[in-house]
Amino acid sequence: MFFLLGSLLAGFSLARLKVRPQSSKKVVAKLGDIAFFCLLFFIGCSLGGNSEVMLSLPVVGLKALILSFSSVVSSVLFVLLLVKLGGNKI
Amino acid sequence: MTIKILVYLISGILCGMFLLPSKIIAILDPITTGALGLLLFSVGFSLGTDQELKEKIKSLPRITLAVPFVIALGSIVGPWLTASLVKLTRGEAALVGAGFGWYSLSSIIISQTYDVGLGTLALLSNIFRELLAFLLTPLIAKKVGNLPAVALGGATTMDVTLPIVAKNTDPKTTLVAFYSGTVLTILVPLVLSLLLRFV
Repeated sequence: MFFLLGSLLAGFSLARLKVRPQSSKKVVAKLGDIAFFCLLFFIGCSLGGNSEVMLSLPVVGLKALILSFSSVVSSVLFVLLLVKLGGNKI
Repeated sequence: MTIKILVYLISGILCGMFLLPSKIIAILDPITTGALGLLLFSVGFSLGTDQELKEKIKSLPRITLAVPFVIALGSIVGPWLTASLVKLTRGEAALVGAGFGWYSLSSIIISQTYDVGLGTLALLSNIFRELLAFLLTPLIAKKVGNLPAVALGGATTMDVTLPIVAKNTDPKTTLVAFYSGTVLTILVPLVLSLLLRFV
């Protein structure tokens, strides 16, 4: 957790120090893109290689999907309601 | 974007299932954390290069402070409403939703204090939430709005899904997402222990 927070802060601080931030912006963004797709691939590998997850998938997969989908839809709707209540100022 | 994300995720799952030996899978955790670190570095860098960030933070209405609490409520209400569909009690379904996407912690707490079967369901359901956040955040940001797009990732907008919010929204929303993910992460054990008293 500290490593992740540290990475976020390190990126922020380095950009704030203004050591050619604009010219390095593209390079860092490209690195971020590569890391993003690597991350997705690694997350997939971890899931595929996790026997507990893969074995429970046919048994409770549909139930889990319904619950996660309802959770996501309902939280999106609640935030949308908050935005409307706030007069779309957010 | 969504298709590209799906392709990388599915290829990873297939590799994990059929190609990679368990020794390699065992060392994937630090590699994943390294990739996430690099990713968060780039999000931080992008926020840091925004010259108007201070003004943007100041211009955020106070109502944005309520975002994580509204997401928490929505995350619980959805499963609570669909409990009968999945043949669970409303309390059990609410417990699964209260993981807010933090699958490791919620499944451990539920398995140890309530039921191993429900813990496994919480594990899978919250993994799906993270995957849904990867797949649907670009679409929700585009069609519904930036702030509703923060809701998908739940607690994971503090780290894993923060980059997908940053990629598809603006710096202001990215900051709200980070704040929201942090608050939700703190809320997971608190809400779970509260709900466990009622199931």
